[in-house]
Amino acid sequence: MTHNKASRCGVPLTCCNSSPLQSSKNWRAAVDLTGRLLTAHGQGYGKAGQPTSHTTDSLQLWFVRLSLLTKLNLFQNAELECEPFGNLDQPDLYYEYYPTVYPGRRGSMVPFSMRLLHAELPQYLGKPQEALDRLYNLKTICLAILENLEKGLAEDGSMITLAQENRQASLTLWRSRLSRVMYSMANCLLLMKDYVLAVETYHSIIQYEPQQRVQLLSGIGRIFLQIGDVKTAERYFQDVEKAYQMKGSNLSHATCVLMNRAFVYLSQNNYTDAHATFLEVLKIDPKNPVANNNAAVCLLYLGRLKESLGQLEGLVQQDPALYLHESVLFNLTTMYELESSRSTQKKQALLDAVACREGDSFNTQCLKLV
Amino acid sequence: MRLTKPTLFTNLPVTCEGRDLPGDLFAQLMREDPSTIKGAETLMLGEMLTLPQNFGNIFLGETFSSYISVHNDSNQVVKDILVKADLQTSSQRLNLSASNTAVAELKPECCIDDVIHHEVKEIGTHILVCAVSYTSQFGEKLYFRKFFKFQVLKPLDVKTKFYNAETDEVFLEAQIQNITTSPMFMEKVSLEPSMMYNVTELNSVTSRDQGESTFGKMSYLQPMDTRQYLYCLKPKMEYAEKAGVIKGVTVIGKLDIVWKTNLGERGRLQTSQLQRMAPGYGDIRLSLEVIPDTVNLEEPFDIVCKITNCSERTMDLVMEMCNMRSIHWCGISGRQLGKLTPGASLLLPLTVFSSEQGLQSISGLRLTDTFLKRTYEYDDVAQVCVVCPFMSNEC
Repeated sequence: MTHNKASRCGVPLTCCNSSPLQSSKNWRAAVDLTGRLLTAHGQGYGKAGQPTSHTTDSLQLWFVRLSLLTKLNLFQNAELECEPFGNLDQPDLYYEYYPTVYPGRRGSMVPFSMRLLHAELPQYLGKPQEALDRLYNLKTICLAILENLEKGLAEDGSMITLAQENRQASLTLWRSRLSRVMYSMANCLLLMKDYVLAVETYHSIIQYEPQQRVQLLSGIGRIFLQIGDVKTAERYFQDVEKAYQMKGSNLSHATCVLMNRAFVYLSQNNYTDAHATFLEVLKIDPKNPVANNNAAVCLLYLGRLKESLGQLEGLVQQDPALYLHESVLFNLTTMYELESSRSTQKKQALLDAVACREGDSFNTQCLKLV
Repeated sequence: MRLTKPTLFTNLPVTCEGRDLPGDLFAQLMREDPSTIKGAETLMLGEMLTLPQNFGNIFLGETFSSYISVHNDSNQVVKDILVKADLQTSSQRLNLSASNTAVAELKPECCIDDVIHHEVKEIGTHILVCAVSYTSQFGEKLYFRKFFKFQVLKPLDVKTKFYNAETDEVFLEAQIQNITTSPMFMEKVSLEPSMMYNVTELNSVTSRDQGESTFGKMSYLQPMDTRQYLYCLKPKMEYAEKAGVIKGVTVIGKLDIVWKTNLGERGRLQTSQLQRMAPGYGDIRLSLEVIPDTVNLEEPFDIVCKITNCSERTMDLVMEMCNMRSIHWCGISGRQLGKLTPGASLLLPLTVFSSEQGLQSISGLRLTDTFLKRTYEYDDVAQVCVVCPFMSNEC
């Protein structure tokens, strides 16, 4: 991959995309790569405040860089690098600013996903209200554009007639963008512990994404379980079961119903039945990582530490790609610490296993070695 | 290790669209992540259970659950292991372990496990004392203890207020504040009345068949939030007669509060017996047995007064009614009511009307005890809402 190609407009940076750096989760290295590519664009380290020349490619590079920083939980870095872009509506971020490079094109060059990331970022820095404000702004824009499209106008409200397929494609695109924004809003409200509004928002997504009804209703049920309102959670889970009985057998739906039942047993301190129900999930879906993990957790509450450890260790050995995950490793190290004061050796062994497989982005905090 | 309920793992979704540079990469990563919800990967709250990472807080009324594990770290077999777990508070020492028999032998790398539960009934310092006695391979009898100290905190702040109604009813307002650090779901807040009273709880609205709480959608209490619960207490029939002469402190009942937090973690508290100071009534008590809420302007309405002799001597009473500016009495004033023995009461029907609209106060009753030639004045004994029945502007 050469940086000469990158500075030409219109040529997609497929070189960056197919780089093995990203797919093997070496995000730190990938972030460095974006830094070098952006420097080649005339932007990058130490270039803030100089006259800019954005292109769609350079903005995509910025988006990749910012999203990788977010994935690495380096939120402050991401915020600092976002600052020069302001609220993403500065004139030099529009096609009209570069008439020689993009003749005749109109609108914003900023990818929608970048706007979404920029809106979500404040909540990870303790400013959830700001994130909500930005997200609501995005939602209003999506709704306005959808209204224009449904009235037969173009997205920006002008009287340009669109061809039927283009209009349909645009409607689908903006509807999916709207539900994505609403997911972000609901997640942010959940982070703020505003459960009433979070539940309402998740509920209102169902009309835009009816195929996710089961997952959304189950998720809302889990929120009520977190609050402690077991009765309302059970009502939501019953809705899921009713829909399952009407629609007929569907593997993921059946799994969902059983998982929900298991969580209710957990909330009633009935660890025996919860364990049995997770095992039932494994009968339908033997490789289900959530059921495997949760069954092992139940065993601990039943006083069966050795069995629980054996199960989890076995899973990690058989299928490290799936089970060397933060949540499973947290559970494993917690149980090592409970088992013996000489747990450091076993945790070290886990670190070795992780080092062989995972990229440089793995969060080693879950191994609790310090 | 303290066994609080597990928590659900949350994800941080990072997505992009197909037309963006990473293409399907981010979506693929999220699909492959075992902790995301399949089909709805942007849903933050997953289904993976994570074990508790620290002791956390424990509050009065909650159940302390703990895993106790004795692990043989050595490479020798040990025999006759006896594990005892006690909970030491400032006032008592409780035995928590289920078994009292010794385990015959414990091989290397094996462990003895026990899960204990205890409903915490005291605030302050608690110490979990785990004592292990065993015999080594060489016949040596060994013994060691481990101490785990923790504090039990107060979860709720309860304040009560009493309101005396014009009838014999007493209203109790209970203000409950959540002083923990996480939201609480109030499963049940009920008043268990003492012998003397019947209680009606006024915290749900029944519409058609369903009863809905007065708190609506806010079914939970955020940290530092306060809620008010209202109860109406009526003295039972056998005590109602004496209600007029109840003096001093009476016991009303106690509040029973049950709450739940994360994944159904339960807590329960009962207050001590709530007491109320009965209002003093003087020698004679005049109360209203029957009075309408709303009446029409200038239309006579009936009320029933109850006159109770709260003194120690017999009285011979004469009732006089005086007209006030807005209250006008109908009937004969200056009637003899007859003799009234101590503790006895009589019912007196009267008719009255109001010449002014709005919330009017019933006043102007005078009772004279002919034995002692003492007059008792009764003003503002009750309120009534007076409305104009006519719809025209002339009213």
